[in-house]
Amino acid sequence: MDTVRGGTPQVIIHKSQPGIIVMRIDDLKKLQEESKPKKKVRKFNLEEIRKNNPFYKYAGCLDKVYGTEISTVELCKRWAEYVD
Amino acid sequence: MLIDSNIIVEIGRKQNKNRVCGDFLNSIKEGMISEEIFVTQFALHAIEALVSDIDSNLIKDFLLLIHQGFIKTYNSKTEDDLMAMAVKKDLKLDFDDAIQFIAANKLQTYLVTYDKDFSHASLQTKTPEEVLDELAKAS
Repeated sequence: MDTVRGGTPQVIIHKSQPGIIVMRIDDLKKLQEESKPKKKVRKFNLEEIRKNNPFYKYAGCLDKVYGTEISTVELCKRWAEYVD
Repeated sequence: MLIDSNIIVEIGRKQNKNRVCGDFLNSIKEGMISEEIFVTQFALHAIEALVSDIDSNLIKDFLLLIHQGFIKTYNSKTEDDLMAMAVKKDLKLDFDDAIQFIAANKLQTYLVTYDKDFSHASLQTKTPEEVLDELAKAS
């Protein structure tokens, strides 16, 4: 016969996980959104953006080839015409 | 937000909107926009076709924003192309615009563009000026 040891009884608890969770689509989307890694966002500052803006130097670089008559929207609609 | 090709190409023009498009792109580069930013692979190829032979640095600067994770690319699937084919006539859009329309809907976002053709379609659009105004008001 087994002997009973004294002291605190030891109990092993198996934590089970449900195979299926039913939840509202909105709650799921919220959960998915919250679980995405958050971007580090800096405070918007227009002055800072305009100061030493690296994109300003490209102003007009495409006009020597496409001219100034055609609008950019139109140029983008006809982009396939400019592919060799 | 999904960025249309005309916003990037505008940076290389000497028209009145090139500076605001530069400001818009630099606000992305400086990490001042919290929401996810996308460009379709289709639009990216159009930009590359128009720009790469003329000023490779402009396209490189844009590609770096993608490489660094500031902008994500959306690769349209065959079902997107089929949907674009199906809706283009009803929405009075050309195929390029229909692809943008489908991508923006799939991403559940709006399109940043100067293209007025989307006024027939049930798609929210914003100009870079509007995006920058909203950012300024929110800050």
